[in-house]
Amino acid sequence: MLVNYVALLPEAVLTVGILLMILVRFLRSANTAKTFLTLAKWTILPTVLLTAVFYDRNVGAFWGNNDYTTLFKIVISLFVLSWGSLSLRRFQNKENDSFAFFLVLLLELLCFSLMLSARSLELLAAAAVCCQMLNYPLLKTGADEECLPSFRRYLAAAVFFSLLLTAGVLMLRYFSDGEYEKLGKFLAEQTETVWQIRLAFVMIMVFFLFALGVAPFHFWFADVVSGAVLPVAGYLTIVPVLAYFSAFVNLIVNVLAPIYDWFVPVMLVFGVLSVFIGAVGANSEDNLRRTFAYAGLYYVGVLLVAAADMHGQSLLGAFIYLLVYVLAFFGVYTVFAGCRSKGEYLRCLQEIRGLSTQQPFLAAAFLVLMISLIGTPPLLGFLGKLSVINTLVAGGSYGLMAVVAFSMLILVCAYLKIITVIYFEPRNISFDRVDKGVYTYIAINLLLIAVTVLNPKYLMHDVEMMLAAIL
Amino acid sequence: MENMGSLVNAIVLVPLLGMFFAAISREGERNRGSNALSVGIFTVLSNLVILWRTALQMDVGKDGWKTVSRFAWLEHPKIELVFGIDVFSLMLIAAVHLAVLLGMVGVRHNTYRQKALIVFALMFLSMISGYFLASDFFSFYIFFESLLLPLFMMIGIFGDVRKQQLLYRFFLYNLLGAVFLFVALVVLYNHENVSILEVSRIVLSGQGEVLVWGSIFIAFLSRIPVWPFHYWISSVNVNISNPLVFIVANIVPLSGVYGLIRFFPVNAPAALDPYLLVLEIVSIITMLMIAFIGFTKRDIRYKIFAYMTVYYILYLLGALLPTDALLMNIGFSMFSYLIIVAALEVMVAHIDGERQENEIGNCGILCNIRRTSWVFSFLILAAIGMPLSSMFLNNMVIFAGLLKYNIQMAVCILLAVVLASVSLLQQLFYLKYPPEAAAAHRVPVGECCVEDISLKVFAVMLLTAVILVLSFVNPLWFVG
Repeated sequence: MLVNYVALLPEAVLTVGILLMILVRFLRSANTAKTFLTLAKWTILPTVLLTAVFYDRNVGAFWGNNDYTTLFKIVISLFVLSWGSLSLRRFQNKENDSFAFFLVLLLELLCFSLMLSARSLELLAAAAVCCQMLNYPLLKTGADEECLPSFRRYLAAAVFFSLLLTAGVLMLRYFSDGEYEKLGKFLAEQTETVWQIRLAFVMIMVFFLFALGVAPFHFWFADVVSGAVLPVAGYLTIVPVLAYFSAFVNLIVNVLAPIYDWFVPVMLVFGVLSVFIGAVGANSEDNLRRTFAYAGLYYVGVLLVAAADMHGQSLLGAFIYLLVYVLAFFGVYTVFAGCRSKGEYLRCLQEIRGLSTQQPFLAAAFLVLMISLIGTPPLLGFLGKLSVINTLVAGGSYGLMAVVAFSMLILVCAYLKIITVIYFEPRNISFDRVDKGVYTYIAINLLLIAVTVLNPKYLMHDVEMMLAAIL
Repeated sequence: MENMGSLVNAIVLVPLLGMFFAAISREGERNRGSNALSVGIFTVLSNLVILWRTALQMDVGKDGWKTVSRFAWLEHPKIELVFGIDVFSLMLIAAVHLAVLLGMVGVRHNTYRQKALIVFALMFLSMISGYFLASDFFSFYIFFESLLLPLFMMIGIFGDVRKQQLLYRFFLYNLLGAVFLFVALVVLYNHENVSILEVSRIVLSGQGEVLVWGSIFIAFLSRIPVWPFHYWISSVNVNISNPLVFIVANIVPLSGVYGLIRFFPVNAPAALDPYLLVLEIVSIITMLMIAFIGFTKRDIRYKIFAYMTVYYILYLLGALLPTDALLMNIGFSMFSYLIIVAALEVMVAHIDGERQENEIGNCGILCNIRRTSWVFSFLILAAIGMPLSSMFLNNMVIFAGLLKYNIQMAVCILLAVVLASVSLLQQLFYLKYPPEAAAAHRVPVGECCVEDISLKVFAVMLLTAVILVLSFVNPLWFVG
């Protein structure tokens, strides 16, 4: 019956939007970046609406929606939409670049959506591999020639890890059906795990750790983010982590849980390594995007440490932390979108010297976001810190808590350096006027922070309700 | 009591509101920052009125800590932000407000980023008021850590700290203290969620007890310039020439002293007694050392810093005695102490400004500026414990308490206090009376190039002197 497939409507709308964008590109002559943004907007908005409407519909055994997938699909769509709007200025008068950028955004959104709702290992792997491959054309959008070698290195690594994922999935398929339910049942019935299954499991895990940019698979992230144009760098910092982490947790909790336990110490080691490398790496950089790329590594490390045992409270703590940090990073990149001089986006720390004297509100927003990222109360970051530290203390993991807390002090040094440059040093260049759009998104971001701080119920309690499917 | 809850909430919220208005105030070429300053002064005065109303509702003779306001913040983990008040907190909040007000008077002619200065000062005021009113673990921690942001920004922008690394280290080690406190409080919370005054109810295992209480101990100690924490605090403080920033930076150790007072005397487990003894010994050595360095230095700011440190440690040691009886006396003495130091700093900033403008030395500078000289002398005499403020009687009671419990310790403390006082007197004489050689060439009064404080500032200082004298026995005399 056709009505059974109604749950696929959001993805169908996305596909139609993608096709429409391609048609417009080749059949219409006078296209601008705004044309493609408008098309993307009118594709994403109905997608969000339909995702919310069909939040609990399943299609056969290979496709399922629930509160959890709906929450993340909506959050991801909204971030893509917002970041796409903010990126418009960069692509004005650059038709080809804007077409490629918005097209790949929609394609990746479609893949993320498939990844989250997939109830079959093959579908998940196909969507995840597509996302990785799509990153390459995205990175090339508007990038300078000298950055291409690092992008090619990324592509090679992505191909390698995608092959690992594919091999892992095929090995598991050899033993059982790829459907989550059947595979989960098969794994639960195993009294002793054969080494092939364990190897397949490791291959799948390694792919996700690479996609999340977890140490020691983080080598590509800082290079890619610093080389790409701002819209791409912002997108890669904000969106994929949401999608991959939620898909990763979904896969472990619903399918691989029976063979996961032995992997907890490995996750903790990777988590601690990421926390440490992220905190130290952020201090060694003068490029703002690289600094925040390493800071992102720290936060992903904390996520792994918090969620390592994949149980109710630890997952809740990790997801709250994830939402808090992604929101703050979105704000930080919005500020980057406002930091321009002579039309060029500023990348280096020394270029934003004395920002507070000419753009006090932009500087104040940056300050608030960084303080929030440090986890200083009463800002939103404190809720994330509280949820993670409380989870670790409740679980008796005092050593891990000490690593997380004291690595944060190292990371704080990097933030202090930025605050010092913005506030305490004299200005040496003239900054461009900030777009209204940047101020609007900053205001929305700060408003969200303020509302959540005043009434954290929305974040802590309502998110808990929505995560019930995996908790 | 319901009304009291609103008043207590207002004490925290009014400075935040003022901060918002100061941030959006207009800045013209002619009135650079004066609008923000007016907003700042108005905000502090408004809060002083609220404090006065709050004091009128309290039974000063009987009231202990009263919880007056609750705000359910989080459901899981269950966190309620609870505010309360007692006379001790009230005195400290009032003193801090008056000190900041004096600081604002001191920076009225500054044009360099005045708006930012006032915004961060008001943020600081709100946070420190919240800290003194916090009654549960989390609100206590929230305000304890939040203090750092305005402090860092003020010192960074206006503090003339030449080495940025010094500033980073200062911030980081304060933040480290906050991390210790956070971790300890989360551990305590996971055992039982109680008010900070009932924290002794929580029973921890032997080693856990020492670790948790040790963390709390280090957290508060990190804010007080006790060895080995004194270096960064002193290096940052003595470079600050902006009076408001100096006052704010010197209020921060108060947060450490207050934390120890709230947590330790009654609640600390017996297992910590040996460590407390070590702290007392280290504190006394620090007192003597800093008092001595203050005595040998020519820099008046270092002398004031040394004086402040000695008194903070005096109050700390008084509070650490195994009794709550001295708490009120410490509060009354601190009230005058904070106001005196703030007023003194405003005077020093004026003298320093004149000295630099006229490119002259400090020696004998006061002899031609009578109003400044009068105010400065009054403040120094009040600071050293002459019967001009509530410090006189209350310090005597504190010393009596110290003598009763440990005579050797009390003698050492007395020695440090005398040394710090002598050092201030020495400075007063140096500023008032030029040496013989210089006296021969003294400029006649009226022809002096050094400008006296304006009549407005003199009036403010006279009012301050009146407040200090009226507080002689009890700063809350008007409550009855």
